[in-house]
Amino acid sequence: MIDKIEELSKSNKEPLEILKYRKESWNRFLQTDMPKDDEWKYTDLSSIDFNKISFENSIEIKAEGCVKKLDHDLLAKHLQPGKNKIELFNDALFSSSIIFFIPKNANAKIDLKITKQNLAKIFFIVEGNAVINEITSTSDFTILQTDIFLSENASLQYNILDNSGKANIINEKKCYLNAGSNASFNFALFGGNINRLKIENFIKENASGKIKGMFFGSNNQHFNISTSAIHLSQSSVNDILIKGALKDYATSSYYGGIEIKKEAQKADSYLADHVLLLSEDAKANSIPSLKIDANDVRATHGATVTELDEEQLFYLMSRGIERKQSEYLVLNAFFNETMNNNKEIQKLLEKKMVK
Amino acid sequence: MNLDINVDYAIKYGFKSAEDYVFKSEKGLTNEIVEKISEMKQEPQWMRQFRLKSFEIFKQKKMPTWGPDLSGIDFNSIHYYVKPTQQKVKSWQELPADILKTFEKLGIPEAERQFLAGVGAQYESEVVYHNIRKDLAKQGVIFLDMDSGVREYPDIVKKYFGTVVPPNDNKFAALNSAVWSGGSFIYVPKNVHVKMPLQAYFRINAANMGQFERTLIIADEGSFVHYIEGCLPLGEEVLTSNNLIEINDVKEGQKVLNSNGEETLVKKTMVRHYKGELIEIIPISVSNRFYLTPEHPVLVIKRSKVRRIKRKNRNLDDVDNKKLLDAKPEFVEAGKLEKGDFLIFPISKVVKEDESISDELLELLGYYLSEGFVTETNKCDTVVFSFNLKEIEKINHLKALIRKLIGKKAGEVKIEKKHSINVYVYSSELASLCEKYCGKHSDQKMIHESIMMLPPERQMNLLKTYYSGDGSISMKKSIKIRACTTSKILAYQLQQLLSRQGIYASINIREAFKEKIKDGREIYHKKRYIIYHALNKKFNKVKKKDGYFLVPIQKINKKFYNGNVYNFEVLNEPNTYLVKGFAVHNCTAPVYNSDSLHAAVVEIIALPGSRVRYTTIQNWSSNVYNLVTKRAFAHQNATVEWVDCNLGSKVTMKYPSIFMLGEGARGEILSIAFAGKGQKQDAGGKVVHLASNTSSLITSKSISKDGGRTIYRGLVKVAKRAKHTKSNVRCDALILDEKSASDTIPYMEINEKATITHEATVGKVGEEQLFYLMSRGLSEAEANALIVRGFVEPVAKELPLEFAVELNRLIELEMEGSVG
Repeated sequence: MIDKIEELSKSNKEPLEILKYRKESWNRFLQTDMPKDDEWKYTDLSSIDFNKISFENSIEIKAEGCVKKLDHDLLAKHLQPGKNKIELFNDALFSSSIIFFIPKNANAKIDLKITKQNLAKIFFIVEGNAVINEITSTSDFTILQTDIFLSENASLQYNILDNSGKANIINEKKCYLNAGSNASFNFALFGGNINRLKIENFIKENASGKIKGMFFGSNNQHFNISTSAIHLSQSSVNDILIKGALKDYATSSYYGGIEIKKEAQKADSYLADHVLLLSEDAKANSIPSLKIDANDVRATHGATVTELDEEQLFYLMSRGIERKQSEYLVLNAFFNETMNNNKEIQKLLEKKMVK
Repeated sequence: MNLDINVDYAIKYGFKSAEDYVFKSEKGLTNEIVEKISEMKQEPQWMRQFRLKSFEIFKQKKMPTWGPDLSGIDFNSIHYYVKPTQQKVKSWQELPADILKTFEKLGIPEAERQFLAGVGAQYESEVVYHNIRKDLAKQGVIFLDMDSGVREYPDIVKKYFGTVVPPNDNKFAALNSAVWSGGSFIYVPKNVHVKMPLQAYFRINAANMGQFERTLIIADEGSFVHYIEGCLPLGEEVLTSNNLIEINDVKEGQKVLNSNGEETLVKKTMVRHYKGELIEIIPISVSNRFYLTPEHPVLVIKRSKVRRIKRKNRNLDDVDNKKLLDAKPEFVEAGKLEKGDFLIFPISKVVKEDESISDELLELLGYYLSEGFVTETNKCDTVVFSFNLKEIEKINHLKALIRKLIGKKAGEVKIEKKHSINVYVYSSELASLCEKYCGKHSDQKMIHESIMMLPPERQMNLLKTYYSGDGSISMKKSIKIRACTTSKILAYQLQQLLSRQGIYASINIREAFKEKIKDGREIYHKKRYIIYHALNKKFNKVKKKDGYFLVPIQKINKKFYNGNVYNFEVLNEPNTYLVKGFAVHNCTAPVYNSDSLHAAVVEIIALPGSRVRYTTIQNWSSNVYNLVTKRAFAHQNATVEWVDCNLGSKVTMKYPSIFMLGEGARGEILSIAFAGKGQKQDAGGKVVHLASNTSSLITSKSISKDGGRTIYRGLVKVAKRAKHTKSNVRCDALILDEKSASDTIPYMEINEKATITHEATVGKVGEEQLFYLMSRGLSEAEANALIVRGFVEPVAKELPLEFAVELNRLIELEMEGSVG
């Protein structure tokens, strides 16, 4: 594999520094076991096959109002050593690497389409305003690591829509929010075999990180959702709302961490996670954790795992609506908050619900 | 209590002996020790096998990799608790300042403290035990300590023991399974409702309580039982503290005398929690009794080694005097001492001449100690001595002394009614001298250190005049010389002074009493200490040898104690110090000594339709690792409730769990955690729904303060095919200051359609609530305490009244000074 890494690095014309990083990552990859910590403890990773991998660069990009560049020095600066086997794998073998730079006062709109297998590292350096739409519809093992740096008072909206086939998808976002900036993530996950989405917000003073997301699983799908809000300094705000529904044999694992550091007094942090189990064989695991080192804060989380409310269904059915349709209506209402009136998402939901 | 600090002064004289570590070789927990525990308890084979198997598991199991730092636990030093022959912390010292302060602040004044002690003593006595037991036994309830349970009900115990918490559950459960001792065994028969709660005070009555108690509760079909564990440790400590009133409060860096009087410093003081048997050793001279943990080595000569004839019946063996005087004292564990063994009472050899104290002054002070007092008349300091009319010789002697010392002429007042003459002298010089060297009030008189160290022949001056005053001679069988004082310190000091004269004096106590005089007036006599010794006695039980007395033990009592025990380490060899004048060994394992481990296992089996409630108020001292495994099986329609209050300890890791095995089972966990300075309260609860239509409720309230950290760690698991389950988890944390922290780590594993909700909040006391209360005239501290009490109310209201009151008091106490 070392040969391949060298070849890859050469064809990308990378400096030695990056090659060294790749090689080190590879060595560590070989020595590391699959992750078993709280984020991963409910996820069966045996279907992840690191051997079936190709090295194409296959992200479709449509970008306005920003500078897209491949600056190896800048890239080298931002590369961080991975924390687990999967991350290390991508560190060693990522084939796409893109850096987007959104200048001050610019209003950027970026569409990313991932349709094929991919090992990618993407960086956004946002000084102005950015709206990013990321659409995944891949059917092969994909790892996507995105690091986002928000300068002071920058703003970001990041929409993720996933409708992949039966593929294992690892999608990890790290977002650094400088003072006064705000980031808002919306996601809707429908596809994938193991579909992992991690969003980590590091929030500084007066910055605000919001995550609103939904997932809907059927068959043997497994969703591994992890959201973390790390409050680094004063008056930082975090708001997370996750909704999910699972039918058939689908399972989910949700890890929601809120961490408030000592310096982050007056932080306001909220996390809610609601999962509906639509079948007897569906499983939901949830670890909403709080780690609070400051006292003058508000940190709250709520988590529920429930089934569809029979009374609501009964009401609808008494009005002459069929059970299936009633279920869809109730579900639609359940997800309403997280869909943002997005027609495409509604369509996908309906399609998947009825199927 | 200040009184007692001074007592130890008279006690700390050194004694030289060779280092004699019989105990060193037995360090480390081994198969042999496990077997020995089993053997001592006369357990059946299966239990022995169970222990040994568990020990193997213990060795293999790893420490938990998550949660608070447990690196302070050194298993090689903790086994002391298991095997009493090990050398460990030993001296009963007085309560440490912080615990003492707790009592004061709890508002338990001295009188109430005594009252509480009484209450506690009642709990400890057999009478109460049997009363309640009779009551329960009528209903067929079995309520025993676990050891007796194994012996008396092997069938039931064998069926259930270790089934709920198997040894391989975790490292500490394995350790407990290997070395468990004590705990409760409860069996409630079908349809019996035990209305009164069973309290864990009983457990303390059980023999050989270690730090590894094991409780097994079986509630048969349709029964109900409420078990309260841990009771109020504060009360218990009070209880024993009262008994231990003579115990010393030694501080690090304090000077103690040792090794033939060389002064040495206390290097390290050690505290640990101890729950179990305490040995009370009563030598000749009853008030020199002292208390030790059973494993504490005491320097003695065993009577069995120096006997001449072995006597049958109860009589003590006769002693061969020659053998006795030739015998070399050895260290024997307090638990192995027998009546008649000879304790070593060393004679202080510290001599420090002080020229500034003249013989005349000593004589005068002797009079002062016995007859004198200082008062103020016409704004002049006056020293008054009262004598009997007949004691003209003494009066003249005293007057001469006064003239010689301060050059003043003393006056006389005759009080015919009392047949006495008061000799008085206006002199602030003399008054301050008397006060400096001998103290002021009659019950607080004490001899100054510099006098205590004078050469014995000089001290004789003081003794002579003292005895001429307070002394008396009785001439019954032998010549007995007695002196009587109301000052406890003085009594022990006199004992020391006499020992330097080669006399072993006993101290007896005559309790305070009221005497009725014929005209109806009552005279109150204070508690008096009577120091007496016999001269020319033909058969003296106490033998004198070079440098020490051999004092036989009159009686040995055992009592139970749950609280802190103290020991200290001295800087130099030999490693001994004196308790009430008697030599005991000092401690040898200083590194981890101050931390102790409490690893209990509680198993509850709630059979169909029964209900079990288990309440704990844990308030261990701040050096205890409290790692407890508690688990319950709830069968069909059974209810299990854990009420868990964690206030004390250094680190607590405790997650009471309920496995709902049968349909319709219900579980409830109520938990309060309060983490103060340096504390980590890692508590929570686990509910596992294994059957349909089961429901559970977890309510956790945690408060952290002064750098403490509370952690809620919980699990809600719904197994496949456990349909229509309901679970509600609510955890709230309050962080009272910037230094403190709180974590919430709930795990939810839902494998079946269910209704599961979890809610957690972390925050501080609400500004608006505070503002409102303060606008109504409450101080900030009061308002804070009120809000915190309201915060824990949902759990506190589930506690029995006295516990709720205690909890509120403790919270108020903990809250004190929380507003900065």
